[in-house]
Amino acid sequence: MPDHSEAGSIQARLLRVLMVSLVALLLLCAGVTWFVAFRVANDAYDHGLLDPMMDIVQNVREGPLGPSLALSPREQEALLFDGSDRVFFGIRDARGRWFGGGAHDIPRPSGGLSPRKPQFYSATVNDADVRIAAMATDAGFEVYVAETTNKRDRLVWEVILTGLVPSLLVVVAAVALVWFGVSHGLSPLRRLHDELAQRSPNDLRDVDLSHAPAEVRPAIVALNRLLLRVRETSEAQRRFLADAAHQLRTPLAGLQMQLELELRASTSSSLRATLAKMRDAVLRTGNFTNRLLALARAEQSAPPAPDDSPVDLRELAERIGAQWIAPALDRGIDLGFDLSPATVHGDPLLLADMLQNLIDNAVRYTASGGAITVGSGEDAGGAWLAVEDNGVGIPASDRARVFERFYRGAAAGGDGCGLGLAIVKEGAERHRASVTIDDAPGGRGTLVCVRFPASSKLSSPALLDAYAAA
Amino acid sequence: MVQRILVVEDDPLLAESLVRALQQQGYRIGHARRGHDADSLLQAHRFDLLLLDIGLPDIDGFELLRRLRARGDATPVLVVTAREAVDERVHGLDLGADDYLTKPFSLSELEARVRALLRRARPAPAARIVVGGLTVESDAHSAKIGGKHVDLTAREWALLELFLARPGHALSKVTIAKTISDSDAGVAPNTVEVYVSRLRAKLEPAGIVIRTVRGFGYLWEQPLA
Repeated sequence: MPDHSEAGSIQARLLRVLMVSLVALLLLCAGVTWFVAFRVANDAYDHGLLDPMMDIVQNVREGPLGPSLALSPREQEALLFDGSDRVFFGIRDARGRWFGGGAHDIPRPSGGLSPRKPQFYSATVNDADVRIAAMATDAGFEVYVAETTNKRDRLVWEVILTGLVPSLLVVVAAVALVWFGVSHGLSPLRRLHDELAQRSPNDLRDVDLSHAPAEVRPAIVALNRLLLRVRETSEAQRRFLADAAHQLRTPLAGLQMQLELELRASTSSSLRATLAKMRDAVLRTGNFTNRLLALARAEQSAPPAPDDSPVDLRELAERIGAQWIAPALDRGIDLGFDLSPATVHGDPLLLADMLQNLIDNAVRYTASGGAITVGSGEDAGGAWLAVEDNGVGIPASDRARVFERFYRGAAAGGDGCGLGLAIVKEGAERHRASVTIDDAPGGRGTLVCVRFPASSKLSSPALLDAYAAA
Repeated sequence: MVQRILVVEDDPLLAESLVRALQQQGYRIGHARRGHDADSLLQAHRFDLLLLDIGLPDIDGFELLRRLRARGDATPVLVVTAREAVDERVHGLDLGADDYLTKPFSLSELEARVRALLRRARPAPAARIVVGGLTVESDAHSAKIGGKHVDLTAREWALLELFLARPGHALSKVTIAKTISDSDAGVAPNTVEVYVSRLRAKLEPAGIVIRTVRGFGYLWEQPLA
C-alpha cells in the first residue's frame, strides 16, 4: 500500500508515539533515579565525614598563642585517609580567621552554623565538586571537612545504571514487540487490500466480514454498504439495458413476421426486393439487440463463484452448434464437430453467448464451400472450447483489436455488428479464461480457442471423485 | 378437422402477424391480449395448441400455464418469450410448456414448431406427410415413393418418424440412438450410422437428402418445395 496519504502508515504512527513517550518516560525515570541515588549516596557517605569532623572539633583549643589543633600531622593524615576521595579540612575562629588544615577557601553555608549541630552541604572548591560537613564548637570555632565526590558519583551512577539498563532493555523490547505486534495486527488490513486488489472491476460482492477484527469491521461494513449501492446502481443499469433490449424484441418480432408474410404474398419483384432488404435490416437489428443483451450480461455477471454450476461444454457445444447446422448449410458451409467431454464451472447463459458468437463469426467470415469445426476438450491445462474455420482469417495485426467493441477488421466486410468477439472476451474474463486467435492448422482461416483455467474445475465433486478413484 | 390455436400475445403488431401467419397455414385462430381473457377462453373452449407470450399485462404467461396444468389441461403449449431463452425455458418446461421460441423468430421457424407440436400431441389418424417424392402414412406404417411401397424395418421406421418430427433440425447420434433403441437392447451411437445409411439409401429415390454432420449426427434436409 503506497504511503502518500497524509496519515502515513498506522505502524509508523504508532511507533512514533510509542517511542516519544517511552523516551520521555525513560528520561523522567532517569531524573528521579538520579535524585534518589544522589540522596542515597549522600546519606551513606555523609556519616563517614562526621567522624573526622568530630575528632577535629574535640581537638581545637584556644591556646595562649592563639587557636591550635592538637593533632599531629600523622594523626591528621590517618583521620583524613580515604581510598577514593581527597578529604581536607579548614577551621575558622570566632574572628573569621582560618587556621589548621590546608583548605581555607571552603565555602560557608548561607544560613551560618549552629553549635553541636553538624550540617552537610555540597559546593565547589577549585572546580571540584565537594561534599562538606561543618559544625560550630562551643568555643565559637567553625570546623569544615570537605570531601571530593568520587565515590558518591560512582554510587549514583551505579544506582542509575542498575535502574536504567533494564528499563532501556524493556524499551527496546517494547518497540520491537510493538513493531511485530502492529505488523501482525495489521495483517487483516493487508489481507483486505490483497482481496480488493485482486478483484475484477465487475466483482461487486460483499467483502467477507468473518475474519475481520473488530477495528476494521466498521470500515468493511461501510465498504460493503458502498458496494451494495454500486451493485444496485449497476444492476439497475443492467436491468435497464436488458429491459430495453427485451422491449425491442417484441416489435422486432412483429416487424419480421409482417415482412416475411408480405414477402411471401407479394408478386412484384421490386417490392419483394425492398421487403427482403427491410427484413434483413430487421434481422440485423434483432441480432444486434441480442448481442447488446449478451454484452450486458457478460459485463455485469459476477466472477466465478463457488456455487457456479458445472457446465458440460460438450453438451453446450452440441446444443448451440446444432442450431447453426442448417444456417451453415444454407451458406454452403460444412459445420462439423470434434467434441470431447469437458466441464467448467460457470454461467451457462454466458458460455452459450460466447459460443454462439464464435460460431456466428466463423459462419459470417467463411465462404461457401468452406468448413467450420467446433471443438471441446479438457487436458491438464484445463477445459477448452475452440472454433476453427478455413475462411478469410484474421490478419495478425488485427488480432488484438478484434476484441474491441464495434471494431470490424478491414478484411471482414461482413454484416457483423462488431460486438461478437467483445462478448467472447467479456465472457472469458468472467470465467478467468483466455481467448487466443491463431491461424487454423490448415494454414488458411482462423482458430479461436477459449481456454479455461484448470482451477475452475477443481471444486467439481465429480472430478474430485474421479481423482480419488484414479 | 381444422385445428384450433389460441394466440395469447398483447403486442398488436406481433399478435396480428401471428394470427395471419397461422391462418394462412389453415388453422383456426383464437386471440387473447390479456391473461385473464385467455384463461376464460381456455376454460370455455378446447384448443389444439396454445401459443403463449410470457410478458402479459395482467397475469403472466407462466401463471396462465400453471393454472392450465393445474386444471389437468394437457393442451400443448408453445411459449413465446422476449426474455432469455435458457432461464425461461427451464421455468416454462418445469411448468409444463412443450416448446419455446425466443423473439424475434422467423416465420418458417414458427410454422415448423407449431406443426411439430400439433403432430406430436395428436398423431393425426389420417396424418399423411408428403416430403419430396415420399408419402408417409404414420398410422398405417406405410411409406411410399411414387406409389411404390418402401420396405422399412422397425428401427428404420423409428428413425424416419424421428426425422419427420424435427424437420430441418440436426439430430445427434446420441439422440438418435436413444430414440430408436428398444427398451432393453440399446443402440450404440456407432451403429446409428448403419441404420441411417440404410434409410438414406432407401429414401434417395424420393430426392431426400440426409446429410452427415461431422462429429455430430445427421440432418434431414428439407427439400425445396
